[in-house]
Amino acid sequence: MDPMALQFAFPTWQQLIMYLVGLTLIFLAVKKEYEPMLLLPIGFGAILVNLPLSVVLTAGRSLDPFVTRFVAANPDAREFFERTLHYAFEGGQAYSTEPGVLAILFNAGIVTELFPVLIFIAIGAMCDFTPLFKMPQMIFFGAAAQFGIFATLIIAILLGFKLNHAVAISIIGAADGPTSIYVATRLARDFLGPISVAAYSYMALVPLIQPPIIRLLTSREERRIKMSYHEADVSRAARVAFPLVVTFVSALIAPISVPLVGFLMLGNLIRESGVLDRLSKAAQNELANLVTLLLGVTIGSSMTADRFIRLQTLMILGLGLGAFIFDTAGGVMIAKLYNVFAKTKVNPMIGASGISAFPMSARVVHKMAQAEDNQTWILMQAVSANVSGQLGSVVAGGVLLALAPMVLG
Amino acid sequence: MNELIAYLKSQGVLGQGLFLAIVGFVGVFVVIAAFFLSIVVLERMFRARRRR
Repeated sequence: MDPMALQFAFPTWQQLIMYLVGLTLIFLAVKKEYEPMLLLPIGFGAILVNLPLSVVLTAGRSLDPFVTRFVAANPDAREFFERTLHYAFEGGQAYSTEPGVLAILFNAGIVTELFPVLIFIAIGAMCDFTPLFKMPQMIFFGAAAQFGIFATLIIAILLGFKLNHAVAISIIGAADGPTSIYVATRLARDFLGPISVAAYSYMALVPLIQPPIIRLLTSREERRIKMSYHEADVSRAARVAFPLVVTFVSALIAPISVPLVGFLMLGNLIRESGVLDRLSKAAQNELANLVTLLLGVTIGSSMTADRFIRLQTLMILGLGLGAFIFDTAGGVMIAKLYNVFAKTKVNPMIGASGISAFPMSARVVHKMAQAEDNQTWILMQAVSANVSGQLGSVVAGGVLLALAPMVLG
Repeated sequence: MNELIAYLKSQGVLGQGLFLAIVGFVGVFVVIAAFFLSIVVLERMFRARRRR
């Protein structure tokens, strides 16, 4: 008989802490409306997976006498059976396990990288790159605001993380949940839970994180710089050609980024083609909602107490905050550097909106400009930089994935 | 390329991290610059066609 069938168990203290973590995420989602679409399912998934016996991860198990004898004779083989073949060991007995529903979802959607890639189609369908055609130079702020990724990488290494873990943690600075999940799945699956939670939580906290950093690095005069904006039509042909050209360029320069950039651009092509309205709406709504739900609850399932309750989780949350701060600082400082050489000055706050958190960052920056001087309108410029951040974050993920194997071997 | 990889592996984790950080950040700018050029070329190409 399945030994789990009639078992009764109390939660451990670590599991009780995870219920608090899950409830906190649900509270933030429901009460504070911080990324509720993600944080609510992640929180509930974290509770589900930490219920006694974790039936959502392990639906059943049966005694395997052969493996029991084999591991008794070769104790070193235990890790292989545990990690690779998902065996459980109790009282010297080896049990083969049957995956539960969340383990099936995790293996099908996260391990295969399917869920993040599907989300990219939805994001691509939501993205309007038209403002970039009106102010193409703004695209460089989408690169500048990725600075936090690379600064955090060095700090994570100095704090003692292995290189692959440091790279995965640093990608929180992309301010882009699906990219963070995609990179973490490849380089640090053990840290997938904290990395995802940090990425989505700090994205929701952009209105609190960015303003003090921007104020610290800019003078009042700089924050009041006005920028001109010329309304111009962008032809449909250019908008349709853009996703195709970007995909080809990515494939030529960083082929490993094609799953990220390619699917983002597929979504955008569906949107801009003008003949796939139903598909575009489905990608923006049904696909986005369904995959976000599955992605959230599956990420939650990676937050088992033994993986989450450790010092590294706190360090990752701290590093994630640092990554957002460095992103903001990098964007602002490079905008100020641009002003040194440019004839027409830009409002340096625009640099901060080069992160991927769209459209929140653009709104924050525009609101700050308005607070300084209600004649300062920089919303369109901030939106252009913010849209560029969507491209920049995906490119940063692709570039890191392309470079990491060179040093990781 | 093999020599570069062997050299990087001999530099320790911090050296490898610095390589990733510097080359990575520059690499992002390079790819974004290519996108910038694509946008400028596309925009001019289609604007010119509309004028004709």
